[in-house]
This record gives sequence, structure tokens and C-alpha cells, in this order.
Amino acid sequence: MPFAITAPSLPPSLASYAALTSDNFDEDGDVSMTTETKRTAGAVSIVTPGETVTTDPQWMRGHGTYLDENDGIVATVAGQVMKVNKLLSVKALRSRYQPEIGDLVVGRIVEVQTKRWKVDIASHQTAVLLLSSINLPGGILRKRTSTDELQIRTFFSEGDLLVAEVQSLFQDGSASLHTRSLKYGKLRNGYLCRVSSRGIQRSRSQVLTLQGAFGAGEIDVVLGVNGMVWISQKPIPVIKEGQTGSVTRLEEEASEAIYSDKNDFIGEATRREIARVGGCVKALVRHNLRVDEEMLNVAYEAACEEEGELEGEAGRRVVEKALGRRMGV
Amino acid sequence: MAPPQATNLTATTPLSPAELSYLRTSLLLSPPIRPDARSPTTFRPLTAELDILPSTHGSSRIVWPDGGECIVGIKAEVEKAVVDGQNKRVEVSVEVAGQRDDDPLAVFLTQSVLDTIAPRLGERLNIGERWNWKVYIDILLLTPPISHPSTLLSLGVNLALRCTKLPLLISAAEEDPLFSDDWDLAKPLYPSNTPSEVPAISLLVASVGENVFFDPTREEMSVADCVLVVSVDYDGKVIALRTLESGSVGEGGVNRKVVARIVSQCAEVGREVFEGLEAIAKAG
Repeated sequence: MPFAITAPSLPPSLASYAALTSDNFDEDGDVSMTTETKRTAGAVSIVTPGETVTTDPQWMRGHGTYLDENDGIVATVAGQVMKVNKLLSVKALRSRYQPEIGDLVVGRIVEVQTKRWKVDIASHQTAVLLLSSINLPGGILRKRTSTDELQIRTFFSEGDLLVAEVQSLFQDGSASLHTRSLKYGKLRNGYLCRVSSRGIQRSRSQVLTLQGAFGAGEIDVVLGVNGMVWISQKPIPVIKEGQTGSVTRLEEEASEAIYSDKNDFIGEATRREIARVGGCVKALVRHNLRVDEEMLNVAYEAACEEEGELEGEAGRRVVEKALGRRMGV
Repeated sequence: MAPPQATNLTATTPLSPAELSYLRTSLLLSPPIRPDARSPTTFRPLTAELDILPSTHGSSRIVWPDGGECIVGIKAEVEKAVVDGQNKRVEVSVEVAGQRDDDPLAVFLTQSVLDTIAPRLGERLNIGERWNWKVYIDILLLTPPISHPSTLLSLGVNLALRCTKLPLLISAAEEDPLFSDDWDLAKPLYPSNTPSEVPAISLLVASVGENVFFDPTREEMSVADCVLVVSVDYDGKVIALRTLESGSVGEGGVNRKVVARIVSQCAEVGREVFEGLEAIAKAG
């Protein structure tokens, strides 16, 4: 349908999906956990800004709270109350991405400075990428010279997308990134899909490859922990004739093309599937699910049975099918 | 054609060259592949509710799945009629959350709403011989929209006007107006038995090469050759056409034939949009 407009409805919750698929389970007590009882059983206390969390003086105030003379500890964000020993904090329900060391993130360059770039990683502050923490083309290990500083824009310029790892954190919580691995660096041949950062599961591997359906090639998906997902065609390694495919040679070739802005040829079928994978990611996150390798695989499988876009009702069907398959395994 | 209107589109960080080229090539294909797999004439699904603000005469809230949200409230006041005052009977104010009120986007949106609906709405606001209604349309755009909000806004205004009710006049035409206390008797501004008189809507259309896209996202707009805001009424008549700033990836400029096609498609698609709006307005 070209134009759809509906009345607002409650966001679907995982519990109702589980109830839908509960027929697949065996009849020992597991099933009852998935229905209404689960929603109320694990009652979490949610507070809203301005609400008094406690007036008991034995608690210490933590993040997301302030101490009021009359009202005791008052929440400043809407979220869940967390207690660690005597420390009381409120974890916001919705917040921007908070970087942690070792996270794989996808970011966009917003500013070029003399020896570093400022990178938007959908966090509270922009992250920093130092010239010394990138791979330079033409040899992995080389000293950074003033020539490199002058041609800093040939590596990354404003608007460029990159995948990087959080190397360290500054005092204020902003991140310092590095791309010193062949896995990281500038992104091309694909499309960026942005979702909320809580929709991406931190897992062992954030990079996965899907086999595209309907004659498409392989599709690489980089699930940035910050909610930026890069979906691209898997690069096809070119080994020219008369050359030995030695490891070092490949690395050198890769490092020459590493900062290229030109896309490879991408077939129509692959483009269509890239769009479909993007739709899957968005649909999963919209239904309050977390995306990881397994989830995306089943969702993509289910999405291949649908025609057209995955917003609205079609997305819901895909998510339901995917959940059913995942739980059925 | 008038020079392109400046919007806050350019203020954001540009896309990378690789992304732009990927998008543009995908959109140039035949059939084109949009990044969210929509067909060229498909709109993103919208959510809307009517009559959400109890102290207004009519109100609506309309939401995009990506978080863009528009709330419209309509208040009416009685004023003494002046000669040739029909165009001054409607006042529009647009507030974009987090932006100054003289932001070019807000100014542009205010003017475009006014141009689209004011002339025909003004005619409906007579009360007897010497008085008329003055309508204030207040629009709040929440969350900086990821795409250009003109479609969202115009649909929101349309829905709010459809559910606007004015108190029943019980005095004679030549007297000073006196209204019934009973709100249940209030008369709708646009009675549901005359669907063809509803206010016009504005549709955002982008063209890439020969292809025409409805409801483009910001990414699609940044690789488009031209972006137009086309206002159509229920009969499919184009009543306004404005050019918006687009990206600078292609050579720019647009073929006469493409503009003609945009206009003819707007009439068709506009009809479907009106049908959708009618359904939601009836449902409540």
C-alpha cells in the first residue's frame, strides 16, 4: 500500500511474541514464564524525573540523581533504579551511546584538525581519532611525518565513514579511537543504517557475513555498538595474474586502496539485498529486540519471504517469524 | 522558477562520497532501489491521532516511524469583519523544537502552510454579515526531523482542520453573533459529507535522473537533482509548487518532462493520500 496511516498502538513486547509461539515448547513448566506472569513478576521500579527515590539518609546518591534538602534523593532521568551496596543510581531508559574500551563503533568524521579527527559516534561527546592511531598506506609501520600531517585530508575528510575500535576513554567519558587493524578503516560499497544504540547487542564478533538471496553476492554487516550499522558488499579480493598471493602482498594492496572513495561495482541484486538487511535491522530494533548475528540471520531468512519494504505490518511479520524460528531451534 | 529555499539541511555533516555514489547509483536504476526498499510512490507508514488537546477547537498529532513528530492545535476567535480581510483570517505559527523562531525552516514552513490553505479556508470563516472567525494554527515540530518535515506538517494541519469544530451560531445573520453553549451541537469546519472541500496537502517529491520519489528521506534528498514541494487539492489540481535545496552530486537541473511527470503523479498519489486521511479522520 503506497500510503498508510494508522492510529497509535502500544509497542509490541517480547512477552506477547513468546506467547504466540509458545505452542512450540514442551509442556514442562517453561511455558508459563513467557506469558503475562513474566511481565509482572520481574517488576522493575521505574522512576521519572523529579520523583523522590528515597528519603532514607543511609543511601548515597549516584548517577541520574540529585540530593534535595527536603525530598531526599530525587531522580533526574526517567529510568530504572540501580543499587550497588549503598549507592543509588538511576539508569536512563533511553540514552545516547556510552563508549567502553574495546567497543567496535562506526563513526562519521565531523572535523579535521592538525593531528587528529573529531568523529561523531552518536555519543554525548565526539570521539577523537589521532593521526598516530591509523594505518598509513604503503607499509604498516612507519613514523608519522609532517607530510602526513599536511595531507591529513587524503586519509579522512569531513563526512567520511569509518569503523574503529575504542582505544581509551578520557576523563569526561569521550572516546579515543584507533583503526590499526586491516579490519578497521574507511567504509565504502554500502549503506549506513542508524538505530538506537540499545538495539545492538555487544557480542564476540560485531562483523558478520550474510549470503545474499536472489542471486546477490555476500553481504558484510558491521554492527557498530553505537547503533550505526554498516551494510556493504563483501569485497572480492583481486589477485592479478603473475603475482603470488602472498600475505604481505595482499596487505600492501589492501593498504593502497584503504582510503579510496570509489565504490566497486555493485550489482542490482546485491543492492536490493543490502536494502533488505537494513530493513531487518530497523524492524528488529523497532520491536525492542537486540540485533546480534543469530537474530539477524533468522530475520533476514524471514525477510526474504516478504516483498517490498519492511516498515509497518510486514516488519512485524518478519520479527514474529524470526523470533519463532530462533526459539524453535 | 523561484530560487531554492534555504533549509537547515546543509547545516548537518555531509555524507561521504562513497555513500553518495552508492545512493545515487541505486536510485538511478530502473526500477530504482531505495535504501529502505520502498517503491518510488510509497510513503513511510504514519501514525496519527486526532483531538488530543482538550482546550483547542481541533488538534492532531502525527508521527513518523523514525521519530519525527508534529503536533497541531487550532484555536478560533470571533472578530469584526474587515473589507478584503479574507487572507488575514488565518494565522500560522510553526515552532521547531530546539531552533530559533526566525529559523529559515520555520519561516518557510509557516509560509507554505499559509499559501496552501489560507485562501480557501478564509472563505469558510464568515459569521453572519459583520463578523468572522479568526483561526490560529499552532504547529509544534518535536525532535529535529531526519527528513524535511513539510509533508508531515501539511498532513497534520489537514487532520487538525478536519476535526475542528466551531460552536453553533444561534443568532440571525445581521445580529451580533450568539453561540450555543452546547458543545455537542458544534458544527465541524469541514463537514464529512463534502469530502472534496478539504484543505489541500503538500507532498515532498524528489527526482533523480528520470525517477521520481515521494516522501524522500534526507539521504535521498541529498543526491536528488531537484526537490519539490507540490501542493495538491482533493481534485488533483496543483495549487502550489516550491523548489527546495537539493544536494550537489549530479549535474543538477531538471528536465521539463520530469517536472511534468512529477505534477501528474502528484495528482494520483495525492488522491490516495486523501483517501488515507479520510479513513483516519472517520475512525477518530
